[in-house]
Amino acid sequence: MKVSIEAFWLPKAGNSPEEYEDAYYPTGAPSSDVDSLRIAVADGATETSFSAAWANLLVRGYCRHVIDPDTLKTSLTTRQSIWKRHVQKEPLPWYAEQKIADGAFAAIIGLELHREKCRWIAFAVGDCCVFHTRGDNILARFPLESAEQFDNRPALISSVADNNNGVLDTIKTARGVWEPGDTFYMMSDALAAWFLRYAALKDTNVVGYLKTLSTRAEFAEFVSLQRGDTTTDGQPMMRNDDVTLLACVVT
Amino acid sequence: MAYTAEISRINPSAFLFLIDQSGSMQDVLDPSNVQALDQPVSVDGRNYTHSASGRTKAQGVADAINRLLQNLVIKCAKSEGVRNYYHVGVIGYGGDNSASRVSPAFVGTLAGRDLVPISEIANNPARVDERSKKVDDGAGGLVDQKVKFPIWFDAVAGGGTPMCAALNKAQSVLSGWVAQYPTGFPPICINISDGESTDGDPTQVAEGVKALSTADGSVLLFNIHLSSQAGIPVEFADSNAGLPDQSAKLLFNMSSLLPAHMQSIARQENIKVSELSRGFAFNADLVSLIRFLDIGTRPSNLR
Repeated sequence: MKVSIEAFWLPKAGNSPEEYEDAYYPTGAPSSDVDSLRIAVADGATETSFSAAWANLLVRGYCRHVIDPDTLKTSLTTRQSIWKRHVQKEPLPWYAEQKIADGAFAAIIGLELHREKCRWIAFAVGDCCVFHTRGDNILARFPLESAEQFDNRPALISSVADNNNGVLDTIKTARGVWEPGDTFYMMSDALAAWFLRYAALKDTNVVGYLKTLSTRAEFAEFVSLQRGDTTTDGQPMMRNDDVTLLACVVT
Repeated sequence: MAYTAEISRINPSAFLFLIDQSGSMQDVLDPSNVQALDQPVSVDGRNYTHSASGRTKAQGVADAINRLLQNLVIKCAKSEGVRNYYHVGVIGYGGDNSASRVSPAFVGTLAGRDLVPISEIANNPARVDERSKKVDDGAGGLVDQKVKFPIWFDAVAGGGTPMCAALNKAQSVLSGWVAQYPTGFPPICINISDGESTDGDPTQVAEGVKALSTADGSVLLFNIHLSSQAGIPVEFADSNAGLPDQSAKLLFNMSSLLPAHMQSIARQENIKVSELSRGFAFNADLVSLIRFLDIGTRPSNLR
């Protein structure tokens, strides 16, 4: 099984690239044949500090099988200690101390592809999404299926264990079968909400649209256009937020 | 649609608090241990017949504002420091009728300044107190935990209630602000008082504050009336019909309508509001003051 992964990302308009708080992994395509592969996108919550570091720890932890969706709570422990060591490196002002005590939060979507029986398994906490596509058709939408399902209170995994007491109840999983040539699009929430909103418009081909994006410049132009465009009720087509897109083609 | 502008470092918003520091603010909220005095004592022209224990209204408001500043700083704190999403000012008003006092109420390094960027507020508290709070000990009990409590603003009480002068000051501070940030989320001005204006009817001056605007809407003026008597607080009323007196009606009429996003936050907190609800609380105790401040300062769209 070979998987090619093309990644595109942008910070919120008005923010610098250093302020981008999504994360994804792997960051380069695997060069050789593999029996299985894990891919992930996470979205660090804006209102928390050090959430980019937390999002990065989550995607790497999942892809390296340190974090297991079946034993999520216990398998997060080492990540949480690493995060704490990372943020407490230097003496901090009173507000940073308090912010760290509150913890960082992130949403995550993980996808596991297997050569055996061409299986795929996805897990999600929060509103990052994966869309399984074949040609221009959307075969699966996970975990959210329409733009209306997005709100300001997604479930999030915290870097402070005590905050995660309810999180086990919010883990969602999905599974299916892929065929060679299928593409899995993985996205953070603002782009995923756009994808579903655009797909619901009359006479549109949202997958075909994404396929036209092959360079960073094209992706940036697309995001800027959609952030500026509005729906019939005056809302922006794409909310101004960090955006991440992974296009994963499996053969 | 008004009140939807994104709040960012390039386009920040502002909060301006007007704090009544008149003599009556030294009255005790939720008094306990009430005892009759041998003979009445006169302070600032008010006669007191009893002594009581408890926090005064001025202390309650100072705590609430310090806590709010702390929460705003924490909201704006990111990995690299505090982002200037807001500029915040606290204006105190009190003093004699002949020499009313309306001035910035920050103490310490920030003394004398009106609107201050939130990162400067974060890094310049006058002092950082330690207080204890009860936390879960993980074994079904509670333990005291020391928490840092930064102080920017102290309790002050003395003299009259020059509300017109305070609103005039607000208008002058905020007119400079909207000129500087003409497309930003409009400033929110919150007036906290326990009594009637002693320098005239504030209605006209209040209209002047609300007439200021950015492209995203008019300046919001909210009013909180603190009570020293037990009574049911009236929060976010949508009509002045049930209000007990002329002074309550006047404050209601001065208050701006709650923008849509604050209406929905209030509903999430199980507070009954309608599209005609105003940023107004009457007979508020400390619980409703803090809740009001939380709803009235919640960002709609922070970048």
